[in-house]
Amino acid sequence: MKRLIALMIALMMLLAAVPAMAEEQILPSDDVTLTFFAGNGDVKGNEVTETIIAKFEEEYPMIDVVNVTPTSSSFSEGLKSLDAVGEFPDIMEARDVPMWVRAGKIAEVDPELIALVNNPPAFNGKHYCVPTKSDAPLGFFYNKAYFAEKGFEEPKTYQEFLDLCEAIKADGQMAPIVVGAADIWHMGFSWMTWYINYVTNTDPDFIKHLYTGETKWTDDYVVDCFTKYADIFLKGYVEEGFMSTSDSQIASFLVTGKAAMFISGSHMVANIKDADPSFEFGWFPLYNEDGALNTWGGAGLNGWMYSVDCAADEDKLIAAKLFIEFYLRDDNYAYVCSTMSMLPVTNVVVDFGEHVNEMVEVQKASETVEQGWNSKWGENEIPTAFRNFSYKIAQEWATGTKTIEQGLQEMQTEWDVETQTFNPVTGVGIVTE
Amino acid sequence: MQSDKKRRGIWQQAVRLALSMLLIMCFLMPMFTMSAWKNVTLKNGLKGNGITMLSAAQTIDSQLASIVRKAKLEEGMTSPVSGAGEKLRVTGIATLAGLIVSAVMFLMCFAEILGVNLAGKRRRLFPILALVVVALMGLGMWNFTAFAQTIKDAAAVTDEAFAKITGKLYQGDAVPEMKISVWAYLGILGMLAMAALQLLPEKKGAMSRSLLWFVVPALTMYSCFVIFPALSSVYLGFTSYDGITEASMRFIGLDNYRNIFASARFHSATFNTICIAAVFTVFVNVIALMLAVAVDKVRWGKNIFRSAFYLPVLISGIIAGFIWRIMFNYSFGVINYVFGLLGMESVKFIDAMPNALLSIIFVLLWKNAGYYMVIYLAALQSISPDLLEAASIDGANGRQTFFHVTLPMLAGSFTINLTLALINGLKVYDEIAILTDGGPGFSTETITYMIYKVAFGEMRQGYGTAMAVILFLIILVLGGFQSTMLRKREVQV
Repeated sequence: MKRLIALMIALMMLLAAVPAMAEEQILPSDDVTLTFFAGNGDVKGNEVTETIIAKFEEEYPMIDVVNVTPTSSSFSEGLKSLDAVGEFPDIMEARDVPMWVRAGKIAEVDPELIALVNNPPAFNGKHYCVPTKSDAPLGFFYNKAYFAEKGFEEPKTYQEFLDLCEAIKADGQMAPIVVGAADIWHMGFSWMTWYINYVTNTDPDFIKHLYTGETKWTDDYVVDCFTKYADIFLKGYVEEGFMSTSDSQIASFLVTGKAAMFISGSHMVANIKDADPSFEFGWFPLYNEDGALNTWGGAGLNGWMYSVDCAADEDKLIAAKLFIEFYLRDDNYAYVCSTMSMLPVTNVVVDFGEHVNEMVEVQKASETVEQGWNSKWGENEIPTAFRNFSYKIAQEWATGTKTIEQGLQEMQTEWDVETQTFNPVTGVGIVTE
Repeated sequence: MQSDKKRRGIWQQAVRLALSMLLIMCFLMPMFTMSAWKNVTLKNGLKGNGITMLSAAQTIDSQLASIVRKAKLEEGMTSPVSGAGEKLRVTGIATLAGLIVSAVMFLMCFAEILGVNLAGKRRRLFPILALVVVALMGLGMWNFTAFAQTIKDAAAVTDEAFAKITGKLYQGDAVPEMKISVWAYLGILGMLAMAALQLLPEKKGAMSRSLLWFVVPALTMYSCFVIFPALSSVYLGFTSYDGITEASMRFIGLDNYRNIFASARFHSATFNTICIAAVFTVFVNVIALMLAVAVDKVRWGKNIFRSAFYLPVLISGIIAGFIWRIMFNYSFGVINYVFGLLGMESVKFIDAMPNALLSIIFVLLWKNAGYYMVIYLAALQSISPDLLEAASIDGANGRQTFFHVTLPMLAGSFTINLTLALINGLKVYDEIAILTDGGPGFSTETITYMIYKVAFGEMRQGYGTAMAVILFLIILVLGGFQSTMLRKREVQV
């Protein structure tokens, strides 16, 4: 009997080994160094990236992943600086994918990797990046205990939101909103919310029509949108030192009772919990005057991409593919998504908790769900330089340095200059060689 | 002895010959300046450099006329490619003329190296001839660009009749563009150097002009690694290059300069640059001089004071920026915390204008005063005690001694410090990048900062490079003017 059991166990072990043998991984023929560029700007994102890299190197000791991300520059700025000194990274988290494709810097991604994700977006009919997330809507995180104490409720219209800000300001205990404007990209969260509600809600092809000359930045509804936006700052609803507050500080403003709310993406759930695990916070989206919702969301041209040089080196390509597969493997990807509160692009099951679940429900209930204005491609792609130019103008509105009309006029002038060399509608500057 | 001299003579001739070959390389390169039609195939077979361009220009008008006729344009319609042949003809003529003039110049110089004076007194015309060549090149390039643009614009027209015309002339999506050879720049440079050398007088006892040809190897290296990249920058300023896509490097003439001068952002950056440079230059020198005098007079702890004042100089601009950014923070900064303890209101140091600009200047003064102090201190210590003693014997008090003896003796240091401070003031970058990121908005951007942001952050290398050229000219004019004035003053003193 014992012999029979031993024989059966041995047989089972052998059978268990068969699929493993069949799926034997292709590994690099020699030790490989992959230079890596991260696109995250927030602290939690960097922490998650470092953890994944460490785990990957542990599992694949022959692959050395060297993080070459500069600490003090934006994604494009950092990547271009590396390119200028001939150190374009092998693998990177994609932003501005169309621009890098046109520059001939990134390679088409292996179809095996694309098959790992649901609904991957294509550019010019080809896949240049493996998306890492589906965007959750932007909204306001707020101090739940303070709201309960004062009897404040989540606003369901834009007027209710303004009334709420006014009430918190009048209360005087804390600033209604904190904005991390020291990081220029952080301005994008608030900008995008108002822009989606009042500009693209009026004209979904606003950018395309700017290219064709049918619309202008100085049109009435655009002026109206940004007047509403700037009023939030000019009416004193935003914490006074917002220009020296960085994105990484806003969670601490909330948990220490310096501000009642801030606007950001789902990734801030983890940051707030990190700042104070016992802090009670809620979340609400910004409704327009009619109580309708227009939100940001979906999988855009963001994710993993690898360089042309990396794709040309057999070992590096194997290593890059292994890294992306490793990242998207259920256990790792579930960790990334839950830690970063990111909506997954694979079928992995993630336990998010109440806040992210609420965001998903809000997204389902939205009248329109669209990609961020700076993540679109095709005829609605904006010139690369224009995004930060706009956010800088937004800073000037917020600090009262410029009027809305002056700022929008400058934006129109800048738009006219930039579209002399880039216009996807007429094809100027769209080179694919 | 005789054979030694003879051998030396042979060696000298060999060196001269080698140098001449090098010069040939340099001087003949303008020929390739107009090698054009990169990435483009024209159906009329127009390819190659400026010389073939000239012959092609002879036939292009008739070709175009025939195409237009075949396209059967409606009455009153103008051909979108009209004038293209004329522009190409001007390009060809200019190129050929430039080539002939530079070849004449080269022959005269080459003859001189071999000991034959062909130029005679006419050598003084060389600079004018060199400028004529450069002007001809410019004219050729300008017309070629206009020609390429005409064809490109015509290709963009979707009208069927026009499409027939451009379809017959122009093929594919590529843009006809000017490809200027690296060697062409070097050639122009060599030609200007040749002209400059010809102006030097040949004096007995002085270094022979022919010896100056020995500078050529060094000049060639210097040109490759310094002057050529600088000239490339000038060229980039006339393109729409985004810094990463080679195909984006299209010649757009003066568009970048036009846009720069019309930009409110650039006006603000220029104002900030001049404001920071002026205030910094004045105050850093006043503070540095005061520190130097104080450190010179102090009786105890002299080394401690010197080290303390000099310490900020050793910190990099980035670190200094971070330190002060934390200290200036409106909500968490130590300065506002102390103000709070004293019952004062918090100050927006870097959050609003004009405080943001003043804060930047303050940090610059804090960081750099020690550097200029050291130069003043060295000068103070080199003043002869005899002078001070003589002033004292003559009954001068401390103030009189300082203003009438010490200060004039520091004239040389003033020249150095004011020039350095002005140049450094015009080039401030680190502190702005960290303290304000040029903000709020664009309000604390300087030209240097804007150049980096535009060229690297906004992917407009051509635009940024054009700005760099403007900054270079500003520094050149201001620096030259200041230096000249101060030297005059120095001489008077």
